[in-house]
Formats: sequence, structure tokens, C-alpha cells
Amino acid sequence: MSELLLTTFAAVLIAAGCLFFLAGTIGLLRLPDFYCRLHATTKCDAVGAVLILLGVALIAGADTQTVRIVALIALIAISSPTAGHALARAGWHAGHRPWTREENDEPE
Amino acid sequence: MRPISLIAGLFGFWLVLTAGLGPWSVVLGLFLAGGIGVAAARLLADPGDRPLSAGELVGLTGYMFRLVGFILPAAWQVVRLVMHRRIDIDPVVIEHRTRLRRPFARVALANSITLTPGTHCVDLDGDQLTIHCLEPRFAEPIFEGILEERLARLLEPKS
Amino acid sequence: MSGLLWGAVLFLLVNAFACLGRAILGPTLPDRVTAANVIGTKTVVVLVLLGVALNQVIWLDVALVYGLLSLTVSLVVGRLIETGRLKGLEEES
Repeated sequence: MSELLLTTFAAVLIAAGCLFFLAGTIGLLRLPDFYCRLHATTKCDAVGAVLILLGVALIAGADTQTVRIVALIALIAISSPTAGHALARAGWHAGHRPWTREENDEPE
Repeated sequence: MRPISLIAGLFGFWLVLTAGLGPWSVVLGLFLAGGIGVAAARLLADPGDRPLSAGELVGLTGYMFRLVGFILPAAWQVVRLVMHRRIDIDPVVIEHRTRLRRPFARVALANSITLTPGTHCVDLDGDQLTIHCLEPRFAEPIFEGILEERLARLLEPKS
Repeated sequence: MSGLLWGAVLFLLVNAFACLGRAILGPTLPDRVTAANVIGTKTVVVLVLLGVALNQVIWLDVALVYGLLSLTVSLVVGRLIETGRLKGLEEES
């Protein structure tokens, strides 16, 4: 019974993670400029990846696999905003001006 | 971080990953951890900042867990935004001067801002933060400085 | 249970290909690097899912290394876009 409960919980976590990944992908494709796309990808990727990895860790149980998954969760939680910041800064210093509503009446 | 604690941490990670205590595994692990620790300590040492103490490391871990309360709404907000038929945003770029002094605290603040709803840190130069907001109203929590307050308590107790 | 893992793998692969569209379309260089970074994160998760589904611990090691390399790529390429070079300190320019 408890195993069924655990699997269900893991399935919910993985499904939620997939939803966030999907939102990140749609955001990457739909939002009007590079800075807005970074908003979508950094947040949704970090949350989606952490949720899916938590779900997988529940399925894997106490194992040598779990240690690696926990290390990966820490890695992604730290690296996702860092990479996002590095790319935003790179674009900013390379002179890419952000999209604003005044200049473009309709978002694409 | 001091080289010795870095080496100890690397060796601990090695032991956990290999999950073996055979003589060759331990010798190789010590050798690698020592080599990497000595090589990397020079890169990690920041002359303008004191190393993080163990208590601060624990405090930061707690801070990251509390940050989850900001990250989940942020991601959910993106989900709602991109699923909408017409994407309704009005991006602005704002400047904010932080009162945090330690470089490490400033970087932690920048990364926290990136993970809070509707804001993304673009540049960090000295105490000057450049932040891209999806809408002007998302900038308000940054000027209120809740996260800044928490980081200041954690990392700069005296000032 | 293993069907769940394979389903997630398939879903993420489809997502990754959609992101590849942004990498191809651009229009700016940072857009492409962002897309590459996102695909990297998805790859890490796919590797973990496959490692657990196939019960191969070494795939998780691969995922760890891949995640670290993916972060390094983003930082290095970001720096390259920002300063136009890879070596030396910023102050020198």
C-alpha cells in the first residue's frame, strides 16, 4: 500500500516537472526577446528538473543512485540561475537592448 | 574555502560516489582529491573576502530551502504566462543599489533575484544590480528588500 | 513504473527538439546559447531517467559530468560573447 502511495507521489512529481519543462520550452519559443526567454528557461528548468529528479529519487529508493541524484539536484539548483545570469550579462554587455512594449505594439 | 576543507569535502564525495573502501580506491581518491584541492584552492580563494564558516554554510542551506517558497510561485507564474493565448508583458530594466558588502552575499542576492517571480538579474557591478522585470510591479519586492535583509542577517551579522 | 520513466523521457526529447528550433531560428547569439543550455538541462534529466529505468548507475555518473560541462559551456560562451575572448582578466582590455 505504502509502495503504491510512493509511486503515485513520484508520478505526480515527475508529471509536474514535465509540465514546467513544457512551459520553459513554450516560453523559449513564444516570448519576444532573449531576456524574457531567460525568465522562462531559468525558473522552469530549475524547478522542472528538481521535481523530476526528486520523483526519480523516490522510485530509486535508498541506493547508490540516490546519492548521485541528490548531488545532481544541488548542481542544477545552483547552476541554472548562474548560467542564466552569465548569459543575461553577456547579452547585456554585448549591447542587446531589451524588447519593450512601446516599440512593438503587439507581442509576436 | 581553505584547501584542507576542500580536499576533505572532495574526498568525502569520492567515497560516497565510489561506495568502496578497497585500498586502491582510497589511494586514488586521496591522490585526486589532494591534487584537485591544491590546484583549485588558489582559484576559489578570494582575497577580498573571508572564507565561509560552517555555521554560515548551514544558514545558507536553510536560506535555500526557504527560497523554494519564492521559486515555486515564480515557475507557476511563467507557466500561466506562456499558456495564455496572448502574452501580456511590459518588460522594464531597473537599477538597484544593494547594501550588502560581501561579494559572496551580493552573488547570492543576484541569484535569488533571478529565481523570484518576474525578475531576472542582468548585471552585477560593485553594489549596482541591473534587473530585468517582466512587468514594473514585479520590482517592488526587490526595493522592499526582504531577501536582502535575510542575507544580511546570515552573512553580515555586525553591519 | 518503468512506463512512467520512458514516457517522461519521450516527452523531454520532444521538448528538446522544440528547443532546437529556437537554437536554429536565433535570431541573436545569446538566444542560441540559451536554447543549448536548456537542451543540456533536459539531457541531464533524460540521462537520469534512463539510468534508473535501465538500472545502470554509470549513466548517473555521466549525467553528473554532463551537468558540470553544460554549466561550464554556458559560463565560457557567455564570457566569450561578453568580452570577445576566452583568456585573461576583464580589466586588461
